[in-house]
Order: sequence, then C-alpha cells, then structure tokens
Amino acid sequence: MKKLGYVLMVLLEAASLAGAYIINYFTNKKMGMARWVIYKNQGWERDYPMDTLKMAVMAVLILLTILVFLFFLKRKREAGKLLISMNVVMILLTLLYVSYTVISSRETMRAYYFLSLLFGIAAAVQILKTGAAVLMCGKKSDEK
Amino acid sequence: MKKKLVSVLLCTAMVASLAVGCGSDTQEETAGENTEGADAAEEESDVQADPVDTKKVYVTPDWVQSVIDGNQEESSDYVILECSWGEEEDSPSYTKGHVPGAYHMNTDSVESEEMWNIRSAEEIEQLLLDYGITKDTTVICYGEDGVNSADDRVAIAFLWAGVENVKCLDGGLAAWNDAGYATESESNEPEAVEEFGTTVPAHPEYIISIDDVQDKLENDDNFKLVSIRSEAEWLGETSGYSYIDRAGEPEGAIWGHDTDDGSYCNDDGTTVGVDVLEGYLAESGASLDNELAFYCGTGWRAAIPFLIMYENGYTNMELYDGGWYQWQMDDSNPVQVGDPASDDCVHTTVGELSTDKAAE
Repeated sequence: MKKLGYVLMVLLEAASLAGAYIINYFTNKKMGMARWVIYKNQGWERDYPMDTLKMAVMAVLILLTILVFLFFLKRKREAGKLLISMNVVMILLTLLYVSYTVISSRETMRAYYFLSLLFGIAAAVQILKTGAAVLMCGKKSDEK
Repeated sequence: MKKKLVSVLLCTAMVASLAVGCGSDTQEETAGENTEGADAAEEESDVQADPVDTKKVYVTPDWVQSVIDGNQEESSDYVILECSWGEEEDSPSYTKGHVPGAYHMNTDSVESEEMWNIRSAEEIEQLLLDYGITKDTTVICYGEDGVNSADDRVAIAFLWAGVENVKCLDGGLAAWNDAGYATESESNEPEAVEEFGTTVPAHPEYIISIDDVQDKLENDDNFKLVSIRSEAEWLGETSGYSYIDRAGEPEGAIWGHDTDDGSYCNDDGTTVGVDVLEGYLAESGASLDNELAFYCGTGWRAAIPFLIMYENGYTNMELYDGGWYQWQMDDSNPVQVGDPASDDCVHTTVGELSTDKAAE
C-alpha cells in the first residue's frame, strides 16, 4: 500500500513536470493554445488575488520544506541514502518553484501561472512524500 | 530500491529538460536584404505586369514578381511580409520556402494580448521602423493561402497606421507556388529606418471602438454591424474559439458570411469582388451604401471585406476590431442568439449566456 502510494506520488510529480513542459511548448507553438492560456490568465487575474495567492503558497511551501528538512536532520543518523536523496530533490523542487515564481512573470512567459502551479504541485507532492518518509523513519527508529 | 532511485533520477531529468525547454529562445539566422543573395532571385526573371492603383490591395503573383524584377514603380521601395502567427522558426510558410526577400511578420507584433486589438500607435510605429517601412514604402503581405487572413490583418493595421500602398498577394503562398515562381528558404532580416513620415495612426477612422459601435447601433439607422463569422457562430451554437466560453452576437448585428469557409474566395483561391459582399449584405437588407462596421472574433476575418471595399474606393466602412471577444467581456452588453429574422432568436445580455460554448 505504501509502495503504491509512493509510486502514485512519483507519477503525479512526473506528470506535473511533464505537463509544465508540454503547456509551455504548445503555448509557444500553437496560436489557439497561446490565446487560451492568455484568456485563462486574464480570467484568473480578474477573479483571484493572484499576487497574494502566489506569496501565500510560496511561504507555505518554503516553511514546510524547512520543517521537513529540520526533522530529517534530527534523524539523520537513521536515514538511508534514499531519504537523503528525497530531501535533496525536495529542496531542488522547492527552489525551482520559488525561483521560477519570483524571477518569471506573465509578461515574460505566457504560461507563467500554469507553470508556476504545476511546479508548485510537484514541489508539494515531494514535500509530502519526503515528510512522510522522514516521519516513518523516525517511527522505525523509535520502535527499535 | 532500484525503482525508487530510477524515480528520483526521472524527476531530476524532468527538471533539467524543463529548464532547457523554458529557456529556449528563437535564434534568427540572417541573410541579405530583399532579393540580394537569394538563390531564387539569382534565377533570371523579367516578369512584366500591368501597373496597379495605389488603392488596389489584392494583387497577382505576376505583379509581385514584376515588382521584385524591378519592373514596377513600386520596385524602388518595397517590403514583402510573410504573415503568420508565431516565431519565424515555427512558421512553415516561411521556413519551407517563402517569396524571395520576404521577412516573417508575427501577427502578435501587430496585436496586443489584452483584447487582440491592434497595438498602440507607438508600438505599431516602432514595428514599422524596425521593418524598414515608411509611409511611402510599398508593403506586400501574404499568408499561407487565400482563406488565411493573417496577411489581411497585418495589411489593415498598416493602412490604419498610414502606409499608403499596402498589397496582399491574392491567394497567398499557394497562388505563388501555383504560378511557378521561385521561393527561398533562408531567413531575411530587415534594415530599420528612423522616420515613418507621418503621424501614426494616419487613418484612425478605419477602426471603430466598442463604445462607438454601441452608440451607433442605438442612434444611427444607417449604421450596420456586420458579422464575418461562421453560420454556427452567427446562430450562437459555438463561440468559434477555444478561449471564448460564450456564444452569440452583438444585438443588432447582421450576417456577412464567413471568410474561413471560402465564402470570400473564388474557386482558384483568389479574393472575390465587391459584388459578392453586396450580395451577402442584401440578404439582411443592407447595402454598400450603409456605414458598415465589420467584425469577427478578434479582427482577422473581418479585415477581408474591409479591404475589398477599400480597394474599390469605398470610404464608408470600418473594422470593429474588438469583435465578439471584446463584446462578450462585459456582462451588460446586449446580445442576440440565433437568426434575428426568426422568432426563435433570443435577445439577452452577455451575463445571461451559458459558458459552455467554447470551440473544442
């Protein structure tokens, strides 16, 4: 069951990153896609406080990444190589999400909101996955 | 363990490939200007064609070749534009072989993202200067074929700006190829100029705003708002666009048929005469004597009947650039759904329309 959950999460992450690539590709290659993306951007900006949402999601993901990493450091001795690499990927994905969201914008990239959202999903899934693995690692060592 | 490792590697590879994908920018190869250095132009050609009036828009491949060959008055100062959406490298009608000396014109350069209306006067002027175009330069636009209206869209923007002699290659690249004239595939880069020669826009009267359309619909019986959209769009069955959720037409509009379905093309792909437009208008009791404002979704298709009237010397026509896209953005705007001549036509407002009519 745990293994299935892990595989599903990996697939979701991969789908998010692949989705970001595909959306960006077709936004640059197909007029209909570009206009649809722009139309959605305009709608979101009209209906939601996008800047506030952006800052809030960034703050939550950064906070969670730091928390999970601190937990991991506490249990570093019990951690295997996989857990170490999961933490590295977590930090990388959070960095990717935050740096892209801060550096890029709707003016420089038409699919900005879509890409930011998908990077955010990938980072969030990785944080969840790593957090669960760190907690389970702690549980195992407590049982010993 | 191995599977997990593979998963981690997969994620890293995705991130790396995204970084590459996101950062890719277009690279422009450059070549000589106009026909100089083009293989195709090196072939001997000396086409003679009858001169055409400055106001004539749709011109034959023979005429364009005669300009290239130096046999027209326009030969001394002209620019040929292959007009299509997207970057040059993504335009097959440019990369697979374009009219010798042509530059690629991305339609996004003339339209702003907000409403897909023609960009500001300052932006259009800068664009013209970047392409080496002054008010006296003859601009020859062409698209993929006769139905494609990218070239007409660019043509009307440049007429609005003040370019005095704007042409469209009638039948587009397809007609050029059918005529057997040479093409080249290398990229050409325009040489910028510093002065356009007049204030942009020189002809603001060619474009009518949504506010003026609303005012004239209410107060001017001679004014006709003409939809250049498909029958399905006209009847409110679909918005016609993947990015527009609502379907319908501005209240009071009449139907002028669609250009995308070939209604404005002859069998050989060339543009129809003004008599065909007259016939379409007559179906709704309108005529070429009315003040006519053409519109479509975002201003491409509607450019064609405008240009047909323009080249026939009419001055009583406009382009309602915002089209259905801009109209359906205001919930309070009045709308008709269905044929207004029938009893089934629903008269409502944008806000009451269903939002499931986007084209798939």
